[in-house]
Amino acid sequence: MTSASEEEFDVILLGTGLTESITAAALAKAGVKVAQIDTNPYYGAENASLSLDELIQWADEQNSTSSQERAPYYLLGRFRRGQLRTVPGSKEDIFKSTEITLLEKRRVMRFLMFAASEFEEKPEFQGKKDLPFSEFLDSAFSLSSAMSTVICFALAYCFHPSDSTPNALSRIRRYLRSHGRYGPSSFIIGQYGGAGEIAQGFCRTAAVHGGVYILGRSIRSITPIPSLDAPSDHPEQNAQAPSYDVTLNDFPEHLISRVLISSPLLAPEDLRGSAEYIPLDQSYDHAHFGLTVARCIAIIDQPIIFASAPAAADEEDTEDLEGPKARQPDPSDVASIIFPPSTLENGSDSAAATVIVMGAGTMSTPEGKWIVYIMLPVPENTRLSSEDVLQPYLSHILTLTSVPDSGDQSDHGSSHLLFKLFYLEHNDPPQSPTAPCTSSSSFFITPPSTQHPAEIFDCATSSAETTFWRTIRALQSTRVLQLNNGDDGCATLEVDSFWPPLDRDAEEEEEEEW
Amino acid sequence: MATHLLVPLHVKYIQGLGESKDDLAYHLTAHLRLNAIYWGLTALSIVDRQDALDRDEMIEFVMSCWDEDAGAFGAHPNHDAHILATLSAIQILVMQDALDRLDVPKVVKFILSLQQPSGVFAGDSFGEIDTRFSYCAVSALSLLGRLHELDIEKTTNYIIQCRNFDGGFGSCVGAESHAGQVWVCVAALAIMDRLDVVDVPTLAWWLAERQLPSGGLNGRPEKLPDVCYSHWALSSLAILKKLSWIDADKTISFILSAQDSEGGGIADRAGDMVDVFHTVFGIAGLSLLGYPDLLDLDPVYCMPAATIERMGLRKDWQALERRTTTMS
Amino acid sequence: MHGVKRQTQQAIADRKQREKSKIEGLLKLTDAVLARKKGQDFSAEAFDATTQLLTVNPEFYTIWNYRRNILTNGLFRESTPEAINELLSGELALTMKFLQAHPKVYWIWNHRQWCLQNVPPGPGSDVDGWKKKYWAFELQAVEKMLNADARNFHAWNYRRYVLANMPVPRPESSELTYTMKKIESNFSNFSAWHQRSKVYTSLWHQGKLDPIKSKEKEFELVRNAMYTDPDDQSIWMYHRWLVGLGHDKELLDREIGVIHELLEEQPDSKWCMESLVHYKRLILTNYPSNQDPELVADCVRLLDQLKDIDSARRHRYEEIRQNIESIGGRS
Repeated sequence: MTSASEEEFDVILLGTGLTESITAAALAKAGVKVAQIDTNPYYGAENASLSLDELIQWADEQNSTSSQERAPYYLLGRFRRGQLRTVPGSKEDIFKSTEITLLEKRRVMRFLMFAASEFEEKPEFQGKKDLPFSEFLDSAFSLSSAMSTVICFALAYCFHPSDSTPNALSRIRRYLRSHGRYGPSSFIIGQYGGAGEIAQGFCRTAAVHGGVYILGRSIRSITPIPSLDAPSDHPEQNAQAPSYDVTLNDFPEHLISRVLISSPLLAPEDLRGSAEYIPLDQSYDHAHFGLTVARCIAIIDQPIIFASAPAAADEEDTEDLEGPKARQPDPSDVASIIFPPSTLENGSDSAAATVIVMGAGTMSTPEGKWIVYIMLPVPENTRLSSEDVLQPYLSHILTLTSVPDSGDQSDHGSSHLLFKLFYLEHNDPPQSPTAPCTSSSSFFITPPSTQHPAEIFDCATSSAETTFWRTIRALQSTRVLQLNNGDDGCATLEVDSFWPPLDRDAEEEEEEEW
Repeated sequence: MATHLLVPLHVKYIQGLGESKDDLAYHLTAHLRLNAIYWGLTALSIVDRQDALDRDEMIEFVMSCWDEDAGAFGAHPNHDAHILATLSAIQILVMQDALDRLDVPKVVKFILSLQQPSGVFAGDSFGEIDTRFSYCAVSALSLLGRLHELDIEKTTNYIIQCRNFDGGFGSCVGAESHAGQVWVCVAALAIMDRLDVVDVPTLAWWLAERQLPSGGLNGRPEKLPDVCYSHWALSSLAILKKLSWIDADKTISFILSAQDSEGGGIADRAGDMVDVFHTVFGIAGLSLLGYPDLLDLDPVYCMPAATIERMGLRKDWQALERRTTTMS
Repeated sequence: MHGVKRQTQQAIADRKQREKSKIEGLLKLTDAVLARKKGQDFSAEAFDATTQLLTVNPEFYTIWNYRRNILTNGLFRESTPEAINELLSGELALTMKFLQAHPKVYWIWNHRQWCLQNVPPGPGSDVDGWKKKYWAFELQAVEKMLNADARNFHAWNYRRYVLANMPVPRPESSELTYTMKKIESNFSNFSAWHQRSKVYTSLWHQGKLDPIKSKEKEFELVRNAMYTDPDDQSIWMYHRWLVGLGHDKELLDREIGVIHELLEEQPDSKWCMESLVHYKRLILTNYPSNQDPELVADCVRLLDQLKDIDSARRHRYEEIRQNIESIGGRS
């Protein structure tokens, strides 16, 4: 019974991270009545896009020992290593490369074709899938160690050489199959360079379908109550899972919900025992969760300059066929740079560092400024500070802001550093499912976000899909459903798909007609 | 998926084409009407059902497309004369044995007037040039028994200039080889008895490589397969007497798979919308590959072989032997 | 119809119902425009009516013809060169719009070409001023079309037309840069390789480029492509063009060696085997020697393998085999 001080929902979600936001949007599209709550005044939780002021405020609030996680979204253009070399990530890159021998071109291509295929069925995979990825590459494809390193860290984005082979291959396959979907690159850039706008976009989708949003209110209490769908004459005999009464500070109404979904961070301690933890998809490497990661956010006012490779043949001037063209500096607006282990003096010799640079084209900086994000997994009980660990990487990046041999090198670029922030991020590992899934749960905790930069979206989407179906099942098991459509609430919930496809004409390549 | 040629359905489909005036597409293709009638009639002839369309009605329609000012045919009444429609009209009249309705000197004059100093033909007085139009001119003049009025050397020389290193031919000097252009050039050369200018081993190799693992053929390297190339590439191979260089069984099943087993007709690929263009070229391909119970197609003229033979125009081409059962 | 998915009978019936009024409109408009045409109406109203009809059906060639007649016999007559220039700019904008929706309709490309041929001299005493502007724009426009579909042969033909008729010719070698760009973004683009072969032939012919030196560069390029993707037939065809009739024994031997090495790494490569047979046959034909029986045996072995892995074309391989054995028998 809805009174003036109560509002009833099918689902309340705590947190507006990607997983929760995608779940909310999918549920709302399916006709489920949802409310989504975040204690932060902004959308996106750990994936939020913050302004510089907000970032500084956030940093000030962090206690140095228990820093909250904050994974910026990563996206990449090109990719270099050691003395900065382009990563051969496509057939065209390999064809054009002047640094790979002919024989190796064949072998790398064979590897990429393998990785793009249903490799699980292939003989190269069988019997070797339990090898660490770096060893798998050596033993199955006879690649040079330099090429194996590039594939392992710059295509598969392994953190450690020991990362699992099936997961690494899945990442490469996703990368290769993404090629050409939205242009020549496999990567897309979120507005303001991050995932915050995307999480917010899903929230907006949910709102369009009737979702209710409450931000910036802390949770006062969450109380299990007898199921809303229990037979009203004998509520005490109710064998069904409880419903929940949620109250917020500075918010007058009680929010009542059949199902409660929470991010791991916001899940109330006292209810965790009765929660069902949504399992993580196996294709995401569990080694990329629950890590301690050193992070740096810096702002510079000079772009990273890559000496562009000479064009394979530049014949504009026929008289000059033999003359090598001067290498033109190639200032990049967006770049991803990988430092495999042991490639930098004073750098890590066990893990790869990922550097993402974003300029004005990503709308995350004004013209003439670039943000540098650095991340490096570190041992859990490291005594080094995040600054100790990452300063060598930042210094090296700064040297790349000056044109080689231009005489502009004396200051090593440090005068171009405008802002830097270092922190350590500790994540909780995902919970393994507590009990065998029963249909009677009504409180779900979503899996944590991956710390792997190339998998944040995919993993969140996969977790959202699992959460979505689990929630639908829970709702279907309740006797009566109150649907959004405002009828008498006796409709059954019928759901065909997680995210119904958009109606669109499939345009195929058209052969010429004449 | 159909495993044999659905002749009655295709006949019904072609018969129905003239009655689809409630279909927007019918009206939007008025500029191809005469060509469509030629395609439909040829397809019917090859399945030995030429009687399925009314002869007199067809001849009257053809004559209603006559453009008196130009002295040739447009694709539809009140449309301008064009060499594409003119060849179709001549082909229909030949197949219906009604050439007596034609003002032959006038048409010959129209065709010859389109030859450019370079030797290529324009499609009409507006001057678009293409080796397709050269074929139209050569084929039409030959069917009218007036090939001797053509400057064969000049015509051949232009085609030679369109020859590429892969042995194929393009639509004009400099253009890329394309199976359709290969056919118009090779067939025109065959009619003019100038196949000596073709690099047969290279061209037949290029044509044989048009076949893809699906059995279908594409028109150019690294493109998708399409039923209409069964005609362009297969006819060219038949003229070069290298039709055995591809896998006939696979091509046959590719063509059969593109049939609409509900409404009749053949599409470019399985599952797509059918049209009369792909219907005739699918059936033409099947005929050349020896599919049972079909009449022979003349790959040079893309008309029933018996008609061409009767006119004494047959050239030295070779199709696969007619099979007696569906599967080899 | 090319690439259009088949509909169910019910969907067709529904569509026909929806189309009824469209058909009426189209027929009315067609009759009206054809009546104007018959009456030799070359007015601006007639011109606008053709725009309307062509927007519905850009393949209606008779209407394009009529439109050009309206321009030359009507609108151009009373117009200053400036006004003609304006009209032609409008034509180019209209055809560009049409081409974006119908990139493979001959009649639209054809009309565009006609427009270029009718650019008036000017402005003022700068006789090529407008032409230069148009041509510069056309090159960009055609590049845009080729970015959308790098194999559109209409666009390539048009590109060649534009290049060949520029008021201020561009150095032909700049086309090498363009085709390289297309090849680097996708080397399965045989249209670009084809264009390259034409440009090189022309440059060699004019003595602007040394064939030996430039071929070496091309061999290098093709080698990179064949090692990257030995299944791509366009590069093997281009390679065959580079080798030509095989009048350079040293080169033949070298390229055979390169392909042999690739075959060792990729033992199932059809194109390696096919090409080896071709080049070895060139040696057999051009340079008879006592090595012949060995070469013949090589070819026969490769052809037997080819019959297996590329069985669709087995009759061709068999024919070549017989042909080679007859050469072997002769020597």
